Amino acid sequence: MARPPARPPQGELLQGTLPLLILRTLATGPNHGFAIARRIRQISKAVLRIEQGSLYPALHRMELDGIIDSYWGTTENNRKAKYYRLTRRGTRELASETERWNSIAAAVAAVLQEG
Amino acid sequence: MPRLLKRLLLRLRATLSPQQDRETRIELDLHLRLLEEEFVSQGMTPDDARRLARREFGNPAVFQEMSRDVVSFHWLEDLVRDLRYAGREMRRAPGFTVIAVSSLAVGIGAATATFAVTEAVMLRPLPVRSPERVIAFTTADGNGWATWSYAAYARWQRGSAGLYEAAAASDVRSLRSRRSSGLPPEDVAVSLVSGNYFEVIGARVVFGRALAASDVGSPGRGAVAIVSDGFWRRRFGGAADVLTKTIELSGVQFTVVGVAESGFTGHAVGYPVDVWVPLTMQPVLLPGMPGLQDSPGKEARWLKVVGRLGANARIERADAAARLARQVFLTEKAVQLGADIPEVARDRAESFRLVAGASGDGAVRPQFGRPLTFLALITALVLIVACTNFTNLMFARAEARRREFLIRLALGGGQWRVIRESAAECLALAAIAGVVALAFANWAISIAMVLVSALEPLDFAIGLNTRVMMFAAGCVMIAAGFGVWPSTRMVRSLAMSSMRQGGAIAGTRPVANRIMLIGQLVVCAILMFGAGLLLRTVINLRTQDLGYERNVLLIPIGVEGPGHPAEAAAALMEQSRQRIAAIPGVLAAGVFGSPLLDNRAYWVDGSEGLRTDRGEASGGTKWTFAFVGPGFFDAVGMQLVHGRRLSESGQGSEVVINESLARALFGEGDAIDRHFAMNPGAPMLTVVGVMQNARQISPRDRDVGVAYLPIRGYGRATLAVRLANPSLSQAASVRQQAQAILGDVQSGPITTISQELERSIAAERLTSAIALFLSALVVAIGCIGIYALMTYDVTRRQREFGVRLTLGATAGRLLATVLRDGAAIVVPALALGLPAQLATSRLLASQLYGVDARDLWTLASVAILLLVVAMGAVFRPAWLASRIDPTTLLRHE
Repeated sequence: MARPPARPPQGELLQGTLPLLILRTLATGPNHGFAIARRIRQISKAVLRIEQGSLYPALHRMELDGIIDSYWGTTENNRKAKYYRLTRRGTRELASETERWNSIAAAVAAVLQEG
Repeated sequence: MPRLLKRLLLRLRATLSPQQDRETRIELDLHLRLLEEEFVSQGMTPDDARRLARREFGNPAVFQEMSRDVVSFHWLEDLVRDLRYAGREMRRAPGFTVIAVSSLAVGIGAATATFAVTEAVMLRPLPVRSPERVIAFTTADGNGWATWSYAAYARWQRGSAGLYEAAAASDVRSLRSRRSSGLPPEDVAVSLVSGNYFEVIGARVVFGRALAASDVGSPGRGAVAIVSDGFWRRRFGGAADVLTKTIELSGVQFTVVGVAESGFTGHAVGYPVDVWVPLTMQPVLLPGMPGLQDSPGKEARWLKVVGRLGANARIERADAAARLARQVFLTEKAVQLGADIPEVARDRAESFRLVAGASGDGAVRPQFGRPLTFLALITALVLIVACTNFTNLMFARAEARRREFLIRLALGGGQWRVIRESAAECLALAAIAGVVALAFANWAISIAMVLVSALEPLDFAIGLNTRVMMFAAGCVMIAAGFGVWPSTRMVRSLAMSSMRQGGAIAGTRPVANRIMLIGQLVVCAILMFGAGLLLRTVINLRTQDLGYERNVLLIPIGVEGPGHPAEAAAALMEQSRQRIAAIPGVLAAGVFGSPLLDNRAYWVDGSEGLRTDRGEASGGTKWTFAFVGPGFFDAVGMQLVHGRRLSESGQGSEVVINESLARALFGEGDAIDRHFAMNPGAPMLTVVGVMQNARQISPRDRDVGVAYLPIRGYGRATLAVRLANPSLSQAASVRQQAQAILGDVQSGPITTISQELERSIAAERLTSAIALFLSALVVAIGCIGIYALMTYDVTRRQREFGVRLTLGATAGRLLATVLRDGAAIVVPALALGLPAQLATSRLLASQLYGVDARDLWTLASVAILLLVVAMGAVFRPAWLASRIDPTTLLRHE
């Protein structure tokens, strides 16, 4: 059976950065999907643009991987929403991923300055 | 691990329940709505807000699908979908489903039942603690474990050097327990064991206590008993107060002190023990032998010796220790008795071995090995027939769906997808068949066990345990494999042809089907022929002239135990006999002391030991002897040829022999008043009469020589009672009166010679019943196959037949065409079957009686029967072909 080719969930984002951004956002506390998307947009000053829906497959995979987990709660406007939070593994993952990202960013910056 | 488990559960939940999907939809909806609200609050119109939100968000359906892909098991989801599809297909064609499932169930069930029996009899280890540590003391020859004397056992136990622990147990004896704890008399399977038996073999006593050293203190002491779990439930209803009960055996009350763990029934395969008692009770329970003498000398061998390897001990070292102990024992014995006596020489000649005892004492295994191999062969054939039949059915089905396959392939459906659907369907059908097969196997096993236990008091805990289930599952997988093949082939060939020529719808004639059907019918012919020969054997055994009457009541009588000297007992029984002979309607009553029609009876192959008054007897006649009392010959209706019967007074040296023995001893000359001895050195006997030959041991033995000796001083015998009128009412009334006269003297249920005959041919009845049953099933499967193929063929050729009818062919002609097609399968099968039948029936030759393994009549009957049945299966499709209405058909087209 033919399956539709999987679209990269990150849209215009660099491969692999979306989970890191989600982890970073959740480090400040549990939140639901819409709020996570809004924070990413705000923090990145709308430079990093994604199709907001692509957040969800990423969230679900991360939940399956055990770096975040979820519970049902209510929003400020009293709406039922699924909240995500970091697990202990998620916290560790954020630390190591941040470090990896920083070293890559530093390396890229160094290469660019060389030129 | 818990994390992995949680992941697995999450995935399973996502796959199997719609919950995950629903939750994702709620999340996505909420996000879209919040986005819209945000845009509205920035001053957009609701319509613009919705459009923009949609653009920012992307297509929710796509994300939902991606999300599902992330978390669910595709293959499982696909499987569920395929199985649903299979279920729909099955409901759409219930006839097909029933036929496919039932024929597979028969094949798998027969194979599973056979495996279950094999597993229980041949493969299963003892249900004890670490069975791999159990060892048995035996010799290289003989069936099962060797029997040893108590002295030999004691020496091994003393000389173990800590490498093993040895225990002893007698073979199972059936002893009659009268009136114990207010319960009716019953035969109880008893084993006499050493005090450490349970500990050594590794079976727990779960209720009460095991035997203790104090129980086996001295001979004649220790009237305590451990009962098996089964006996506890059967006899005492599983009541907790069993430990206050007693069991009477040979006049002694045994106090129940423990209940063995469930499943443990002793070390001997097939002979479950009800009650274990200390072996010190041997002088009471098995009197008349020096069973407990513990120094070398003339001792009785009556014990099996089992052991358990010590911690860290290896069997090689234990074996060395046991050999040493045995050497010392034999040397002492030689010193005591003299090295040149035959007993010592025989002991030395035995090749002692210490063997692994995990699989128990399998003395019955050789007896079952041959029949089981035979059965395995037949059931393998049945399974193959069932599987090929399944292939055939799936073939017809694939043909019928050719057009559907073609369209789906043309529309770009993957080949794999179509094949997988068909595989799921086969698996589902086979799995359902597997479940039905388990029920069928369970039923077949219980029937077979009833028949086997009529043969011998054997009992195996045969059941559907894990191993048997695994076997059945394996059969299911194989069957499913057989079913997948046709659609795979079809799809492949369609895909190829559609690429080449855009798809031709016309089907080919399935040649492979025909070949498989011919093969099936050949198997049918083989099995039917075998079953026919076995059936004729049973009929011959049943109806032949036995040399005595059949309608004779047999009443086991016995006066045993302390306080009944043998002579007094005999006098009591003789009195009873005379009173019974005087009952109105009784023609004669007589006593005999040797089993009649008992396959286990003692006989001698060859007349080497016999001596006549003129030297050695000639020839290698098989012969035996039997003890008969007053009135026996008249009671069973045996005919005297020469001379007279044994005199009532029972002259010491008188003997009556049968014609076979007379011929073996004295040739054609007159035997009366001649003399012979049964052993060199035994006293000479005087022949006073010659009887007509009668089947003494087994209904198969035509010419066994028999010497009838006067019975005297007996404690146990059988009373034969012949009635003037063998009607049921009279038999019942005589039974009642006899029972009233005998009272306690009667020691078992009343039977008749007919019943004994049936019992003695139970093995033959069992084999022929199984063979008949399986061949009937295989024939049914074969006919279903032919019927399905021909019906399919007729359906496919409807158009052709219609055209032929319009062109002037008569209905009769079409009928003949289809019948001829059917005959093209049946006739070659019969022709090929002939050599196959003759080749295989030779294997049966030793089991047959009164019928030749190449018997022409049986061969012809089987051929005719198979022809009629198979052509009967062709007839309906042929008739359908002749009824085709060309006008409707063409309108339909």
